[in-house]
Amino acid sequence: MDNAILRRRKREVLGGVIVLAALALLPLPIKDVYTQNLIIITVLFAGLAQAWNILGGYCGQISLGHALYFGVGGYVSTLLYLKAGLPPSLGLFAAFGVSGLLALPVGWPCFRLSGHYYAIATVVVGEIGYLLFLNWDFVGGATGVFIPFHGESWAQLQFKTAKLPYHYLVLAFAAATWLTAFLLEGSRWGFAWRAVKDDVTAARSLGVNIFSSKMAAAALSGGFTGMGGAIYAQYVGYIDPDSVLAGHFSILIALPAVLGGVSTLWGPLIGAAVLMPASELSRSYLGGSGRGVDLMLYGGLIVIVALARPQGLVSLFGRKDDHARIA
Amino acid sequence: MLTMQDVAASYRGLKALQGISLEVGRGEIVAVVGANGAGKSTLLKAIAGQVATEGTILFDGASLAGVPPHMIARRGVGLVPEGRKLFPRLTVEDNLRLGAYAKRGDPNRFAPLELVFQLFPRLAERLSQRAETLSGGEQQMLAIGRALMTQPRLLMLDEPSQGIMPKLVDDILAAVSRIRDLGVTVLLVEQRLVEALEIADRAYVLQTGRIVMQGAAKDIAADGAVRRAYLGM
Repeated sequence: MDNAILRRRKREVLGGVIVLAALALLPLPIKDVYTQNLIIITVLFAGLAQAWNILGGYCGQISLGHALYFGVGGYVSTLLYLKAGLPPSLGLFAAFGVSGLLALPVGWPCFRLSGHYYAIATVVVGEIGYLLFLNWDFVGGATGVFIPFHGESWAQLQFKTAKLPYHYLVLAFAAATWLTAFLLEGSRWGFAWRAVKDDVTAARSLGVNIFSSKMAAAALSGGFTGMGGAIYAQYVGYIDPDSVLAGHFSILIALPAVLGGVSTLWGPLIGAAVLMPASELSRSYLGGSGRGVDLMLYGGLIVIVALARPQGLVSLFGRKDDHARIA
Repeated sequence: MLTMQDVAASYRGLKALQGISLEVGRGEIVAVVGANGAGKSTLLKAIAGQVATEGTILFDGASLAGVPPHMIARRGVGLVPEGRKLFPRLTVEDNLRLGAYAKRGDPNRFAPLELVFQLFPRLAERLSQRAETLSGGEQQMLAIGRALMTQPRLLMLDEPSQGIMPKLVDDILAAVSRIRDLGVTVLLVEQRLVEALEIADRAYVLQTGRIVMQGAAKDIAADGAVRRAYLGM
């Protein structure tokens, strides 16, 4: 009995190590900056999607406002650096803390709603965050903030032209989210969250506090998303509300998980590995040929996957037994 | 153990229960019977804190008013919900372990497993299967087992016979009887009058949200008027 689960867990750890090693070696032979950039963005979004998966997948609370945590994370590390001199390598953790804590006052009213109503509420909260930052001079308002270059350093997380350090940074981030999801799957919290997702009444009757379970999932999910936002800000060197807080980021963060397979360890990575290159390639090949053709292709791909593989791309892999664990 | 005095419950203004006064003594099996829509499930939900109520509900002498549902569960009120409400994608074992959720840090929290397997040996054979792959009867066994894992002092069952084959109904009710013999008080809601009254000590007959008759189970079973008037038999 226990053995089957233990074997599966061991297989997953082994898989995790192999994928981590492969992703660590992947950029070494690649000299082309465009491809390097594409891989970095893909891995970053795999991590973000896994962070979203903690709340949207395992706990079943579909948030369409994660751009808020992403953007706030970016602003926190950037402003702490510019105004207080805190090196961004530490700012990442501050971003984790602030975005994680921010998820609590957001969750407090929103978790009084459930299902679609919760999702709609998160859209609204995300929009409010965007508008606040757009009109807030202290954080640069609509002009945004530049991160001045002070020389290459891991403490500042700044590298002039080298992409490799950023690659390992996003890889460490994605690995941390994966490990968190892995640990959650076997933990008391993870079980409580899946119970909340499956059946609130039954979960309650077993003594699970629904509200605090959701809050804990939201905080962890928001925290990791904020950390991802801080890394992104450091990577691009400039943020404004449109580049980190706009509503489409919420969708971008959620989509890889949904497409790859929610409440799975590998869904977010697989989804990101398909979506990010598809989005990039369709934009570079079709973006100039008329407005929106790239988006049509991108949207078409999502429709096809949704129709053919409603449980997510991850269900193409793995054994039959594992499929039904999804969704 | 459980006392309800003049309890009313409503869904958004629609009264589902009115003037309910009910008593469950330690070690009893009390059955609540009645037709569809009589308010039987609402009665259990009211005790579990899942619907808004007025009136007094005392469990072991302490009021349950304003206590959130998960804390009522932790005080020792176990609920086997209508329609079982298992976690379909989790294994049988994980469903049972979730029953011990509230007993964090208690080294004996999985101790009731032995009892569950004694009552329902089939669950022991299906530990690593997903709950959704079980038959209806097995799912009901799992739902009862999961509730027993919370180590309840009062076990409430909502229509345990629903959707399972007749032969298994007897097995499950026999198990309920054994659970009581092990010291757990039982409040049983059932549409199947005859079977429920066979194992119960006392019974209440519910009609359109009110208690219309109460007494020893065998008296109610013998009362022809009850059957005809309220249970359509």
